[in-house]
Amino acid sequence: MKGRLAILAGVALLAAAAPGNAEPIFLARQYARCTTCHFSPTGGGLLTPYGRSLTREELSTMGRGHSTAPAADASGEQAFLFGLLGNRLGKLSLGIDLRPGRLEVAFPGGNDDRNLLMNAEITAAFRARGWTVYGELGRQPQREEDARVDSFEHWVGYESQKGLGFRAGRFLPAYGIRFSDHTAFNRKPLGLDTSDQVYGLELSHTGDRHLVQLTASPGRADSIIDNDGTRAFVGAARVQFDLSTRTVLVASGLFHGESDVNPSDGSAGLAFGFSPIRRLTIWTEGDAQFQQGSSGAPSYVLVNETSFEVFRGIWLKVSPQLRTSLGDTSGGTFRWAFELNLLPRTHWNVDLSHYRDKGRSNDVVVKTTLLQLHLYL
Amino acid sequence: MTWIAVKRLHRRIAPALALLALLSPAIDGWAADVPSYRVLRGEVRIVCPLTVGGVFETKTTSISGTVGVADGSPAALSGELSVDLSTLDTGIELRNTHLREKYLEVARGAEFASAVISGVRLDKAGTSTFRGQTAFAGTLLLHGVRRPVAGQAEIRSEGNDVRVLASFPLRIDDYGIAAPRYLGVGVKNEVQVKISLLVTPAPAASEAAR
Repeated sequence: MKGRLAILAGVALLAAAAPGNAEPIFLARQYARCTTCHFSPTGGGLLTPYGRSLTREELSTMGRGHSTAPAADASGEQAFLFGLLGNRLGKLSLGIDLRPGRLEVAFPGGNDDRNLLMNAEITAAFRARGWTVYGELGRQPQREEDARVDSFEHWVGYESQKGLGFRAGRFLPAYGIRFSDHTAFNRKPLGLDTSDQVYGLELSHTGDRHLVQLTASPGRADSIIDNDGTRAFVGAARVQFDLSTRTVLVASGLFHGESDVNPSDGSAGLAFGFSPIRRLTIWTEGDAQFQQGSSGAPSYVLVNETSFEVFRGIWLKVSPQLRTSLGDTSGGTFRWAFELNLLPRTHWNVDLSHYRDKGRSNDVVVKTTLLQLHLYL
Repeated sequence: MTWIAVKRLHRRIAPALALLALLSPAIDGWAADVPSYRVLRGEVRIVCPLTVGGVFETKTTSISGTVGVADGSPAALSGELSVDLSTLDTGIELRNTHLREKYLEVARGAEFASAVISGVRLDKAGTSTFRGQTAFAGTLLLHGVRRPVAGQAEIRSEGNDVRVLASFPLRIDDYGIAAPRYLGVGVKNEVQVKISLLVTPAPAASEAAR
């Protein structure tokens, strides 16, 4: 039984960790909003030209010194394909994301290791006069041997100069803090994995010190396309208060309605992020997950991610994570996650992650090590 | 002019000279012995709201100056406070370069290199011993342009020194500064200036001269 659980956990991680995407670490640089660097209001995905420039100027060790073109120039190192197309793209932004990786999973009685292509996708966005049209086409590993090519995110959005906005299409609902690691306990277990986008409508208002995002959807995008009986209403609300330029409080709620197959469930959470010094960002999120028909305590999630910039372009992350079982607060899993992220140049970085997942009721320990090369062209 | 004429003139202006002689110490004292305060240390933070939402802060600790507080209602501050704009730090090197070189143009000359606050009047303060909150008005020299500013201040004692907290809004275009924009992200036109100062009583000029 222990061995089977371990294998399941390992396989789950196999189709898993893809760090190096959204960067809530940038709270340390006074960036409390995803939209400064990403087209998506929920973060991750294609970088805006500003985000690309910041990647070169602030994130990479040597990017700034290796280009004679200004950081704002379309022919600079940070631009699409190293600026090969110059100004020809106009207001169209493109990005290619490739993540070859090496995964090793060790569990009681065995181990598994393999080379794999975590992600391979191309994303495009067109932005003008407050309107954004965004689309991504890519390949993601879904199961052990199976990869899927699809458009996981596509939407059209608008934001007025007064900060009122909407978007409609396929996207991840806004909830909590979107850590770059989508296997984090405040993402995948809560229904915020890489393929958990909804078809829906998001309304938002952003101000100097707050951000409100409300999402309503007839269901997960895949459940609508596949018509597999899991289709159900999804609603989400996220409110962010910027207590200072480096201190953020986020309250969130997420609800999945009852479908033909699944009971309804929901989550509510609070997240707090702060950056006491320029090189350090500390995020902590706590969530409670409820499920219809489940007696006893909800499932609790507590995640901390502490990121420290050891040297320009070298980040160390430590993340203790706890998730209790539904109805059993003594059950669940405790995780230690460690990550070393090296960003020598603008368009590529190397990421080494190690996870130690321990079952709280059965003491089964699964150790996962993932080495990735992230090419962002 | 004959000696007699000189004597007559002296007789005429003697009372005026005597009065002037009597008054001169008082005038001298008024100028020199107005309670003065010198900046021990301070911080200026400029809260800049972004066009995409959120804010960032630019700050510096390079603020200096001495002000005298003349009794009156409102209390008027003589002297000025100067902020070295070349030391403003946004936390990001490229943004620092843009701020200093492209927008504030600190290399253009003395009136661009520093921001100077002068002619401050504290609405509720009548004397230098005032402690509490008050509205204030003054003149800000920035980017070579002098404009009136007005805001709120709080003054409180910290031992023998005095803590001054002041804030006022500032419209960027009032000072002829180009709208900060970079790759689709900009700073809104109105920013908030927040000043925290620890000032210490400065020796009066007459005392210092001894």
